[in-house]
Amino acid sequence: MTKETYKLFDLAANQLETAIMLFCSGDDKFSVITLAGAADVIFCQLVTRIGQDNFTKIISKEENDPRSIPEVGKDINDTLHINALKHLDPGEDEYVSLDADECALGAILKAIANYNMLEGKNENLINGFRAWAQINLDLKKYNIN
Amino acid sequence: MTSTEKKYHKKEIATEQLKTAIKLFLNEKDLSSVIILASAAGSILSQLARNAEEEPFIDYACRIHNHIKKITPGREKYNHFINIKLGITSHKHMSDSDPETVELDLLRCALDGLTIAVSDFVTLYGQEEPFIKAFLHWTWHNTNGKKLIEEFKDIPKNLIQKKKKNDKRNL
Repeated sequence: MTKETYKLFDLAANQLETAIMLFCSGDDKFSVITLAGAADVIFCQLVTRIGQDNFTKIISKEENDPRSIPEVGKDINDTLHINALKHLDPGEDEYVSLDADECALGAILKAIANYNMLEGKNENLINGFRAWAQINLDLKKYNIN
Repeated sequence: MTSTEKKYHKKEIATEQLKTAIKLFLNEKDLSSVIILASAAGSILSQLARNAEEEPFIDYACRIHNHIKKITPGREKYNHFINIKLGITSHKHMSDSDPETVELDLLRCALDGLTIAVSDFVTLYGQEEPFIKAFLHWTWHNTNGKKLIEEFKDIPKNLIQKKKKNDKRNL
């Protein structure tokens, strides 16, 4: 066991790749949401650092949303139940209701949207998901090329 | 709740994520994913343990700190410290001023993160689940389990983790 230096971009890309692998193989959807959600936090920041609008900012602009970007981001994450799957606060309800398949798909699509804006991306990482989407999704509805 | 929504207890959510994390770890898959999933499961299990009036790992860690350093750290502060040490923070947070690289021992972080989550799982539900047994079996063979048990025998009784409900299941 030894320490090594890693790029956060690579660590996040590995998480997204695992999320896609779990999703396409019909495995645990809770883990898909958590992994894609964590990867996306890194991608969002890296997109901002290269002077581009990240997914949340693009949505905010398109919807003319008066709220701050962090507020819109939290709303999106709450819709996808990203925080509910990794936290339980004191006094909080121990039950959560969600459509795990739909949230997993949304979390991956959001992470891919940001990943695709970054230099150094590996097309092979999302090829499996693209193939799955072409068979299983309405590509126009989900805005997938 | 829409027609396609289902209601899940957080135990199920944490268990699935911990099971996936252990599966990835034992199959030598991506360690960053192991770290994130163990952290998510561990965070939920820790609060579930507290809700069940059991002693979660973090409280036990605070007691050990007190024994060694003669001062009890704040729970949140110590949890934050552990999250940094285990690479959890750098895997899921990136502020405007954070560097774009991080120095980590991914295997050590993944193993320690899993150990914490498994500790709280065992406190709550025992160690009979096959994925828990598989992880314990791996650690026994790869971290010199016999030597650790010998050292554990010499630990003062007041430093053994408190278990109220599951003593019999954990023997």
